[in-house]
Amino acid sequence: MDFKKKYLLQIIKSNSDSENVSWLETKVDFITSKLSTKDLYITYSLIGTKFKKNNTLNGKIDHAELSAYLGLQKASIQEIARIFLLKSVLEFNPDFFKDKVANIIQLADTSELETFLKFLVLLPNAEDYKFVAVEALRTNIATIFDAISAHNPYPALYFNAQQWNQMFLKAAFIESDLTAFNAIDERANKDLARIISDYAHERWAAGRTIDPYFWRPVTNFIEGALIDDMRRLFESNDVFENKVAAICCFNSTNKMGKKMLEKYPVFIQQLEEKKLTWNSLKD
Amino acid sequence: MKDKMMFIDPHIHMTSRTTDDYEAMAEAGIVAIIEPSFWLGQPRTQVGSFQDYFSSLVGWEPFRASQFGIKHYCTIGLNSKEANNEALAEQVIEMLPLYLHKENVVAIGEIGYDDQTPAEDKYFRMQLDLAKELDMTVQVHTPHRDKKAGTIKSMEVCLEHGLAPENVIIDHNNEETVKEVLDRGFIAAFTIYPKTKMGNERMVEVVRKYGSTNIIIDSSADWGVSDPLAVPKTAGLMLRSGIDKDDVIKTCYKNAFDAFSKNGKMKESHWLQTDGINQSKLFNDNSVLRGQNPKISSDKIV
Repeated sequence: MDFKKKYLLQIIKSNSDSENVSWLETKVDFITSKLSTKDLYITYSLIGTKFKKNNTLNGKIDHAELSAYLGLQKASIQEIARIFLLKSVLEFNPDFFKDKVANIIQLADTSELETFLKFLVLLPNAEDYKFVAVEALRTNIATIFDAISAHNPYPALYFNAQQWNQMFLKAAFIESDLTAFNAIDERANKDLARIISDYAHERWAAGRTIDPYFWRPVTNFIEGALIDDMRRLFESNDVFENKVAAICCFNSTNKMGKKMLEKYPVFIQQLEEKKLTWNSLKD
Repeated sequence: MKDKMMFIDPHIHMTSRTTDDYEAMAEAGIVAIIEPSFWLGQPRTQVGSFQDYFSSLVGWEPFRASQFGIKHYCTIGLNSKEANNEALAEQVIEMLPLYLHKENVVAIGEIGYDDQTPAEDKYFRMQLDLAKELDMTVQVHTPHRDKKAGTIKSMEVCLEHGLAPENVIIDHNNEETVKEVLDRGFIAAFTIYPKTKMGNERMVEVVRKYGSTNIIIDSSADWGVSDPLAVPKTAGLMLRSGIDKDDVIKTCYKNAFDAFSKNGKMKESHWLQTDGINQSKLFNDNSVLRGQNPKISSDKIV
């Protein structure tokens, strides 16, 4: 995300003691002018004691996109102060500070790691930290997985298809909220559609249900086994599964899908009037 | 659960324990634990081994504990045994400041003397200076051999480095050391070992003789023969032996809380106001649950 660090400072100032704000600014100057790794680490640590974890922020940020994202992720002033520090040093001398910042991330505790993952996208050269983001997909701690996957633009911007698919499948596997992804339609791909179908068959074989939102990425790839899957969804006793099949077939170009949909004029009408969409599925 | 006593075990190495232990501990009333960083039996040869161990104490292990309704804190430090590998010790010391402000770190520990070598002395003192600079509580491991002299020396060095005795917990006491520790104003912790050393009958007599002020009971359970239920079992024995309930609460809960909550990381609200256990919050593919039904406690932990 492209923004100037002064916007972070603006919100820090409206929510902290002026003494702590000047401390932070002085430290940033010192760390950058002296290229002091030790002071970077100590400052990063001490922010934890000088800035509050409270996430009700006073004042406004004159940058709509940044403001919306900090609000969405419920950023605390402590988290914002840490982002400010890291952004400042990385902008000043990326070659020197890149590895130092990577080291801070490597030593994070659980809640610090959540912070990094949620706000990686705000750091300059965010792609440098992709290893950490992909590693978070392998975690067994739900809050860590959600930090990188839910309402986070990072995966859509930087993950390759294999990484994206790994994230989507794991989210389904651990029964995370599948509506929380950014760019779910844009990142859909044929391989993911096949994975979804295979996993659905596994769940059905085990007599287990499937989150209806799981089907969303198959829309543009309905062929072969997925046609039978759509038929099964249309014939399901679960009305959400019927609706899911209708939305997928309506948006798909597959002729077999369109033909199946013809049997459900009520859905067709709702779809044409845009009353039945992914966003209104559970309304 | 309202009438059940609550316990804190302020010294237990859960990294070496099983989920059965966590279940039994929660069942016995243990609400919070402190896991000191220590020697893992196999000496470490790389600084990265320390880093991953410390990261586990501030990452995975607190998460694992939370799945059983137990709040996990830790103390971070270079233990005395491994202080003798000086090249490695230097690197570990350099890394410590990055861990000491993590959200579940309540003290620097367990540090102190093992064989009372010059290297142990050097790194013990360096960490005491760090504690002084960062205003942190210290958890001191006292030696198994030449115990009394080592304990006295530990306290003298703490005072020499300007630490307040009420901010230092001297651990692994026995009848021979307790008086020296209490007289100097330090906090005396006792490790209850199941078969040897300090058994819980002896502990009852210590409390009878010295009272409950500044006395803490812990299990120090680790990878050796040890009992993760030592604190609640000793509390039970104290009650049955006629020790006042207030003294039991102080030695098995309150004193540990007071001693380790000074930097504000440890809060009673962490276990008094919880959502109860909800293992469904965690992943079941490769985690503490392996195909079992998740346990969701119907009763909040109060």
